[in-house]
Amino acid sequence: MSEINSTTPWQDLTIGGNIYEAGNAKNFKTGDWRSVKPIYLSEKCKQCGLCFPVCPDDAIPVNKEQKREDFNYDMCKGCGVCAKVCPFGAIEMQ
Amino acid sequence: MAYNHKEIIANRPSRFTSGHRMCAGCGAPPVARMVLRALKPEDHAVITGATGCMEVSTFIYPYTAWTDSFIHTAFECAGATCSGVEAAYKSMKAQGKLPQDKDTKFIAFGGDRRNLRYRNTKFIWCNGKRTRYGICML
Amino acid sequence: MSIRERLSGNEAAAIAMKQINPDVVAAFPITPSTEIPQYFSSFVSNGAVDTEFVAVESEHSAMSACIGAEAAGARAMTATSSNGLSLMWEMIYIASSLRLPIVMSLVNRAVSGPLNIHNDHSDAMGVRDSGWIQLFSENNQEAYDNLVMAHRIAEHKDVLLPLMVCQDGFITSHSIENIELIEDDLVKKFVGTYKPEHYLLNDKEPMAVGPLDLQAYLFEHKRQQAEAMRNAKKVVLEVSKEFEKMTGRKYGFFEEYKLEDAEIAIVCMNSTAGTTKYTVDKLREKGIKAGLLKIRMFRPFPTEEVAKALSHLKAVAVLDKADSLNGAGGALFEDVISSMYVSNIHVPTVNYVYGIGGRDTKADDIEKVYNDLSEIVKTGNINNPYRYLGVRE
Repeated sequence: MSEINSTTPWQDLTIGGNIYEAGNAKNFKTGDWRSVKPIYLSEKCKQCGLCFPVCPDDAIPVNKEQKREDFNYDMCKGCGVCAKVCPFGAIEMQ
Repeated sequence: MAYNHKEIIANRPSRFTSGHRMCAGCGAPPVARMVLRALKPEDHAVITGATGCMEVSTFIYPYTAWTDSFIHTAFECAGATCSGVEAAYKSMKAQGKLPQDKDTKFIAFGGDRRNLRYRNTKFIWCNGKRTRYGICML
Repeated sequence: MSIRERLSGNEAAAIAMKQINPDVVAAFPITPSTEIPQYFSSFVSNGAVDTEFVAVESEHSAMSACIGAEAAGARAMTATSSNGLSLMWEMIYIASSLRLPIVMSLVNRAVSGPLNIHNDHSDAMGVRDSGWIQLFSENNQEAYDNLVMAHRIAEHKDVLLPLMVCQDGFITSHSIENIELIEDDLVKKFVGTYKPEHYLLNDKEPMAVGPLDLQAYLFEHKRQQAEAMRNAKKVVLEVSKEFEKMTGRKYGFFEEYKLEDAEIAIVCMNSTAGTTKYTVDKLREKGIKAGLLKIRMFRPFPTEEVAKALSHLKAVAVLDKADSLNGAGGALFEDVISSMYVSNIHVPTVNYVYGIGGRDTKADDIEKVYNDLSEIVKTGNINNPYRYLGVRE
């Protein structure tokens, strides 16, 4: 699937537009959509867990200790929803 | 059992990946992600989607954001399509054409224009038959 | 040994479906195809088949459910007619573009309006460009045989396209004729089990079906469909040959009836071919060299083969049981003349639109067409190529 692009001849496309690698959109980077950038201020963060459930792009990784980590800028579209929900000012849009 | 949001997100992998083309800040992807987290990590599922933002922005050839089997057909028939998938499952499982020790879950996403989608989704609610799948209206 | 029976066209189709034993049937009743799902649902209730029957609320949902089932890895079938097919229309294109080998029994009936429940081919002609393989059947035997062959053609890896088997509403679907059925176990062996390479219910390989296919890809996917349609020609012949070995009944792209030495001929489809054969025999007794080319495979259209089969004739009439309302000829006529033109074959050819809304077409009417053809041969004068047969004027 990964080698299919807009220059692939018809003989080499999957039939009917089927995709056999479910979830391969994770290889499509949406970070370049961003016009403003969220900055994570870890010293202000209380790990309340309000930001990551609302991120439309899964761009706030959560580790097994249930703690958020820094942004995944490959995917973050810069919508700012996380900054809006943060009660502690731990996310700043720049 | 208490539902711990943080724990669920930390421990159940997202079944709806990033890299979709929904608008920045759209509320639908977090909803879909949390609906799918109702599945157990080991569950096999088939998802049906109606035409609409949620489908066209998440499944643009050659990419899909759904990590489960997914089928989209048209505007108004996510429910009917799902009933076909489910009928296939019932029939093939009874005939031994599918693994007997594995259960499949079915979820139909009704789409974001309810007037169009409602018709045959309503039929599934009203036909009184026990179905194996849930419908999520976004 | 085959089983001698007497069945209506609908019964024959239902029995074929029983012997095929599909995994899923989703259908909604509509005259004159109602009996097919009706008989079939009794097979389901009696446990004669393993099928899951989905009693949907419309034909649109019937085709949607068939698409879901086929994509899930099941063999799915349905039956419909006329406006039922019209309501399916959106999903008909989706079924073929998703490359799902669904098999449909289409009992031809006039599409509204005004409302009419009787036979013509306007329903099938409405979806002739939808990417479905279309096989036409002269009688109950052919409707049965075509269904038995259908999955083998549709599911072939070089094809993977849906297929509809057409028969004439009431004329074939409701009249009881003799038929030779094939034993259950032979059909089972012939049809085989459906083993798709990729399917939704495969828990080892989740897959996605039906994407948004934008400017960079749709053209290529349509090109693939076109190629699959071309490949279907070869597969139809292969499967027909194998079928002939089993039953002795020979099928091809078309049937040539006394065409070899004919001077004038009719091209038509479905039950009218029966009336035409009777008329050909009658004319032959009078020394008139009449012949018939009965199209079995309308999609893909066997262009070169049709042109070659007609090349030696002095005049040809193409009978269309649906008017294309295009100010020119019917669909079959257009296909036949364009086939001849590109093969550089020029035989005087005229079109007759006939039998609309179940208007009875008798042997006398067919004889009139042959008389017209003889006149064309004599005078070399066509006048109007776009003609009507049996309309009051």
